[in-house]
Amino acid sequence: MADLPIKNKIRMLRFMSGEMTQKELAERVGVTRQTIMAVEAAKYSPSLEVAFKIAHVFNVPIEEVFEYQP
Amino acid sequence: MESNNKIKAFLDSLSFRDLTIAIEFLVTGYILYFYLGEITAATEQLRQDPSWVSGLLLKVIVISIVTSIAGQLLLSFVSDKDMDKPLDEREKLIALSGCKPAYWVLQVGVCISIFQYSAEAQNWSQALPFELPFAPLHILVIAFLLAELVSYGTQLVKARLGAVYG
Repeated sequence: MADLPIKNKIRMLRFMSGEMTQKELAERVGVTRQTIMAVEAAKYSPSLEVAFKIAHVFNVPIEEVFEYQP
Repeated sequence: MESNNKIKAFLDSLSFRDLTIAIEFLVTGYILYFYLGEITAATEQLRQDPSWVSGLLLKVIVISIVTSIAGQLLLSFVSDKDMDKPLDEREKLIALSGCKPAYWVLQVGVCISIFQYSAEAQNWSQALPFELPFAPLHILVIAFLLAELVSYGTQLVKARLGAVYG
C-alpha cells in the first residue's frame, strides 16, 4: 500500500524532545501507541484535533509537524 | 535468542485492541467449528427433531457466553487498565471498516436462506441447495458467525498492516 501524501516530522521532534517515547507521546495526546506508530510511518492521517494535540505536545505550530507532499 | 526478540517485538507491536479482536476471532471460529461439527455428526433423525435444534442453539449461546467471559478474564490479566479505555479515532475507523465485508457476507447468507425457505415451501426439491431439515435457520446462524469472523479478520489485518484506508 502506498504511503499517504501527508508526511510528518514526529520522529525528529521526539528525538529533539529528549528521546520522547511513542508511548509517552501517545499518552499525552490520548491515543494508542499503535496510532502514533501509524501516523509516524505515514500510514494513517490523524484528525485535525489529534494533529493539533501532537503539535501542542512539541510546542510547535502544526505546519512544523505535518507537511503535504502530493 | 533472535526468535525470542522477534516474538517480544511482535507482542510489543500488538495493541490491547488487537489482542481483544484476536480472542474474539478465535472464540467465534471455535463456535462455528462446534456448530458445524454438531450438525455433521448428528443423525438424520436427530436433525429433524425441533428440540435437538433448539438445544443446539442454546448450547451455542451458552458456549459463546462462557468463552466471552473467559476471554475477558484473560484480557483483564493482561492489562486491567486498558479494558476501560475508549477506542481512539484510528481504532474506531478500523472497527467500522470491518463492518462492510461482514455486511456482505450476512446479506448473501440471508438471500440463500430466503431462497431455501421459498424452495422448501414450494416443494422445489430439485432446486434446493441443501437437503437439511431447518436449513434456513442453520444458514442464518452460519452466515452470522461467518460475518463475525470476516469482521474480526478484516479488523485484524487492517490493524496489523496499518492500512486503514486501503
